[in-house]
Amino acid sequence: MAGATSMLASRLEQFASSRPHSSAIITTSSHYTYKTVLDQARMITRQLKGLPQSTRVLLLASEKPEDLIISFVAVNLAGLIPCFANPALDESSQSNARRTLRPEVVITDGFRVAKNSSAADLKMRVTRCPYGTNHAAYVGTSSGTTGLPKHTLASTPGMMEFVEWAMREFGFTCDDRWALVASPWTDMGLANIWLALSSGAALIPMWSPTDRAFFIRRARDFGITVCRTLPRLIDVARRDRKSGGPLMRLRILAFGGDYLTWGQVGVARKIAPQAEMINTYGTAETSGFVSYYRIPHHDEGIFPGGTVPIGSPAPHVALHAIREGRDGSQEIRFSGRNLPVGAIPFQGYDERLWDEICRGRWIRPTIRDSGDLGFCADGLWHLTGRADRQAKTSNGNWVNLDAVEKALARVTGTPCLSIAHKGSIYALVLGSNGRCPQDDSEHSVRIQSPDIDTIVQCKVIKCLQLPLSIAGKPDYERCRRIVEAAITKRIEDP
Amino acid sequence: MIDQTDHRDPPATLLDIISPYLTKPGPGPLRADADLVKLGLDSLGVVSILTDVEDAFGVEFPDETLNMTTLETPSALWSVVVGLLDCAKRDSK
Repeated sequence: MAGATSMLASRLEQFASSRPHSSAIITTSSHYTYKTVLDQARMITRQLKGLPQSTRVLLLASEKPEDLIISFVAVNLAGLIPCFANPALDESSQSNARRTLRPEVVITDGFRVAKNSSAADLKMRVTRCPYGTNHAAYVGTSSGTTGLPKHTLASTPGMMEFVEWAMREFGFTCDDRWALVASPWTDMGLANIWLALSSGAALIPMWSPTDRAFFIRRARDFGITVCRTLPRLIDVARRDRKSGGPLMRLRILAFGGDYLTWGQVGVARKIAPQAEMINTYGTAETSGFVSYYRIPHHDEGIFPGGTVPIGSPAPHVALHAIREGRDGSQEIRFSGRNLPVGAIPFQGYDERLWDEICRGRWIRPTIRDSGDLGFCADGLWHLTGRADRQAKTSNGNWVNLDAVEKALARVTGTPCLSIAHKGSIYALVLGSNGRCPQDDSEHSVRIQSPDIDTIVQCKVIKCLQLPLSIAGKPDYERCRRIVEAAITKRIEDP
Repeated sequence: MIDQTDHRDPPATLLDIISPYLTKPGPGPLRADADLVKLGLDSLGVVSILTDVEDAFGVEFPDETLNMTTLETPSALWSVVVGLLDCAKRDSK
């Protein structure tokens, strides 16, 4: 049964043999050595042997991080594909309402194994992976804050290559103590689990949904040396003035998952004066990062704007796109970097430059295109495009541009097309109708959904003909070019 | 009561808070329109100044103000402080 998926398990077996009493997971109430993690995982693996041969994907939905990690190892040992999902996904925010994930088997709290009725959606997505399920390390699910939850498949060769590279690049060792601050079923949490356990370090879950300031206190108590987290943790830590002195043992503090401001860097320096700080970027849902920036320790006079760069692509990085209706992926490359330009960009990023995809996304916009489906295989990082047309208006909130068009069409009485562009939503409307809003005006539309109504501001551009393809479908690329041209014209001829 | 004069001219207390965090201070006293980045302000200095200002003026900077725009010049910082003081005053009414 075991195959390429067992590479993490192999490393754990190695540590359990050579350093059986080394700490693997430390919680407030329990202490797991590498040996106890492996022993517990093997017990669960025995249960999994009873599953039908056709079983490939198991959903891990434990509330307790340590249970989740041990289940992860167990499923890995069994040569199956663990899939991680937030157990609260069904009940969480409004945008998670239409959840699609239906895995074959669920491992919940206390390692209870429950069969589920259907694997249709997830199985379909996994088998569509061009590198085959034999290479799958795990499947992560996105939070769904941008709409339908998405599934990200990380390949074992890709993850192991990433781990080996990161250990060399950042000097991670078995003496490190990793804080697991990101929730363990997120892309960031999963990468941290892999990095910590693959390097023989101790992993200390300190994710608390109710008490973010929990981090500072626990990080000091447990002598945390490495932490990779969302920048907003720093905002919380800034307010927690009762948390005591600085974290002197923290030697690497990495950020990812959102834009990082220089102000946050300053707060982080106060919290961890000895730490090297690294800003990382992994396109949404990739488990790890594809570019990084070592933040200089002295930054007086050098920071020009509000956000910290995300640096250059990590070595061996490639981005691939999967488009609807195609088998396999096609590589995307970017001009001027180690990723030269290729023919098939991934959806939502057509004809954009690397800087636009990376740094541009990290500048605080009002509206941003959101969501990608990423995975890595054969040591390369990949990114697959999304098929829907969502624009993120803020964290946890999004609008579907199709709904925007429908709402506008009701107002104007004519078809409309809309795109998200540089922080705004632009609507192309036919100018021949008397009900059409004025050109260059801001128009509010109400988007109704079963969960929540959203008011969206659209910038209106009148046109005599909507850009359609030969097949009569909306041509959003031309739409984008029209918007660009209109913006340029306004700048030149205000 | 903070009036327009207060808004335009940062008080000496504010300038005294900022000055120690400048690694390349120019000759003479700190001007209200001085470019703080050019005078060697770093990210740690930004946070230290904001913390000291919070303590001195009894305000709390929202996260979105934690940037270089807020600390571009002493005047820019003072206008944010005045805004926060105004908000606090309105809230207390």
